[in-house]
Amino acid sequence: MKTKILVIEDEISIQVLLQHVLESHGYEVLIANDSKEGLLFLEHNTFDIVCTDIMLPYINGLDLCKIIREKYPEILVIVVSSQSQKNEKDKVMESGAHGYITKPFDVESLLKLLRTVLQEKIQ
Amino acid sequence: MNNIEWFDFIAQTSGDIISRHTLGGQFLDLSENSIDILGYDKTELISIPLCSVVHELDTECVRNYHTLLVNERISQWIQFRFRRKNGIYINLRSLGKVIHSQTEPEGFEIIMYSKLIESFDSSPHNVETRGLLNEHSDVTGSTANNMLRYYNKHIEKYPHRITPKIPIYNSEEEYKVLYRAISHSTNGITIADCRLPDMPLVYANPAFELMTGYSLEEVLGINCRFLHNHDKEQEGLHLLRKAIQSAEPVKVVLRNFKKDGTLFWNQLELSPVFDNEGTLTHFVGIASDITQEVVARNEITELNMRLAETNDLLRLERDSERQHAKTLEKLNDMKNDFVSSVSHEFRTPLASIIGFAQTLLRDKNLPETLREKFTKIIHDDGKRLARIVEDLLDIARIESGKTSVYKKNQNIVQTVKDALTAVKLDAEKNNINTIFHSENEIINAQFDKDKITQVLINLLTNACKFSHPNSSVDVRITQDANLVTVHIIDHGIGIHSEDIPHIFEKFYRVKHTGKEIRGTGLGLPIAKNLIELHNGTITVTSVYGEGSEFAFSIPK
Repeated sequence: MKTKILVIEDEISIQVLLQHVLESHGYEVLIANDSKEGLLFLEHNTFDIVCTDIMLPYINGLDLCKIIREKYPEILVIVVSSQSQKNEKDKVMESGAHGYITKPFDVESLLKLLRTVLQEKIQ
Repeated sequence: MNNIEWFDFIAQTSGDIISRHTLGGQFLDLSENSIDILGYDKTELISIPLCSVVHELDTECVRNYHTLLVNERISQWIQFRFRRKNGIYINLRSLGKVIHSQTEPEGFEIIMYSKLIESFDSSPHNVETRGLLNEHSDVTGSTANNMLRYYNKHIEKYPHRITPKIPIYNSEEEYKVLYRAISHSTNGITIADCRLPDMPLVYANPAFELMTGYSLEEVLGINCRFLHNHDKEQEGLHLLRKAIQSAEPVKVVLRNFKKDGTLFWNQLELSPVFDNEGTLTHFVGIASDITQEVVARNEITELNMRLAETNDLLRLERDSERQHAKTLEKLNDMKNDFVSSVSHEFRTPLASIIGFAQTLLRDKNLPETLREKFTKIIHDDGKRLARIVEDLLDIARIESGKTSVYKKNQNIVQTVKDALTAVKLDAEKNNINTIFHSENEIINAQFDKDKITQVLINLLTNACKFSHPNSSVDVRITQDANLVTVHIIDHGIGIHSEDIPHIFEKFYRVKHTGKEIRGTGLGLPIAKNLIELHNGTITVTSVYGEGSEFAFSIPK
């Protein structure tokens, strides 16, 4: 069964990029434009991984991460950041995220991060 | 019982010392207790003159006493220091009397009663001068007598202090002493006679002459108001007049003038003198020249004022420094926010460009449609980065005051029409219709065409971007006597009331949007700055979900 990833991202170009890269590597991808939409998708679908931006309309990626960790503890969360906040990495880790990657990112690094967190979950 | 027997009886029973002396002062006999009090056995003192066992400073007193007693037969109390055998002084209070001699039928001798009184410091190095205690003086009621009373009281109250030695015996002596005191005083002392018309001065001491520069001849017989010169409305003078009228003592400070016209500050203490019937007879004035004090005090006041001013200045400076520090802190926060925002604005298109470029490079078998789509995204995001750089430079130039506005009187209607033409193509692509309306074809105003065009393009592009498909963007130009206003109205997603106050802030991202809208986050702040450079204003009104109206006004 394919690994299902929910991408929460408000930038169209990044949405297109992630969808193409992840799908071409065998993942099943669903895109949400903002955090509200993301939470709605989570209610009606099952995902293995959520890949979220930090700067999002309504609820920011860090708060969203906390909500997901609480409501859906089995889902892995990867935060994609544009390093717009002070001590961002610490904040990301405090929010309970499993992985953290900064924009602009190397496609290979993102794929490697996904494989790592999935591996850790199995172990 | 003869006198000798009486003496022996009293001498044996009295607790005090009884002694007999020749008219020359030598001891003839002493009571038995002398050894206890005086430290001498009586045989050791017999034939010795009293003065030889008296403190040397008291010797003269005792001699005078002795002379008065023998020559005038005046019997009075005396106090003196007696030197005990061990050298320590004791204080004796004695009364002597000349009586008929007990051994020679025609002769006289002195009988003396001495009482040990509260000991003074008996150290020979700290002796105090004693004097004659003239309690039976015949100058009753005189100052001398009062002084003696005071003297006695003083001794009782302060036994260890040096007590005044003022044996004044009569009015003449008293007058001489007091006159000398007054005439040698460094204070100017004057006496005015209140019984004479216009209260003339009847006495002025040399210090007064020195202080004022007037001689006695010039001032005696006239009222002392000549000192005030023309300065007659002083507060001190009012007080002085009031005190004279009510015959009360007063202390005032007056601006007075010396004979040569020099100002001096006179601290005057005026006291009334009454006769036995209580009638006011004189005023005694004691004047002190306090000019130096007043000058010093004024200088101190002046310095204090300056100090207070300096303090105020320092306080203001400190407050302003604090304010400055706060501003700097705020600026620093703003700078940090700016850097964060710039970071975000750059990283997003960069992530897209790098990501798609990598995809294009690695996936050689990518279908042509995707290849084209990704290349276009790279192109668009590259252009977006370039736009961000342009906008950043624009805002930096405006904020540093380096943007110049070249205002010219020209037709704003034409400028708006040109801007509309420029965005029309994009609008039509999204099925957005533009409607233009102006009160007049020609409305002239003072503006920089390039800058206003930049504002218009920004507002029009936003309006098209946020419009619902198939809606219209209305552009209207209105005017009044002083202003021309351009309204740009869209029928689109609108702006949430929470976002409106922040809409002109740099990099502010609206929280409430259902649509992905990508800008540089600098368009509206730039527009606002450019309008303000024209001394104009820009406003926004919006109903969330229905549309927004941006309007800017500039002076004609």
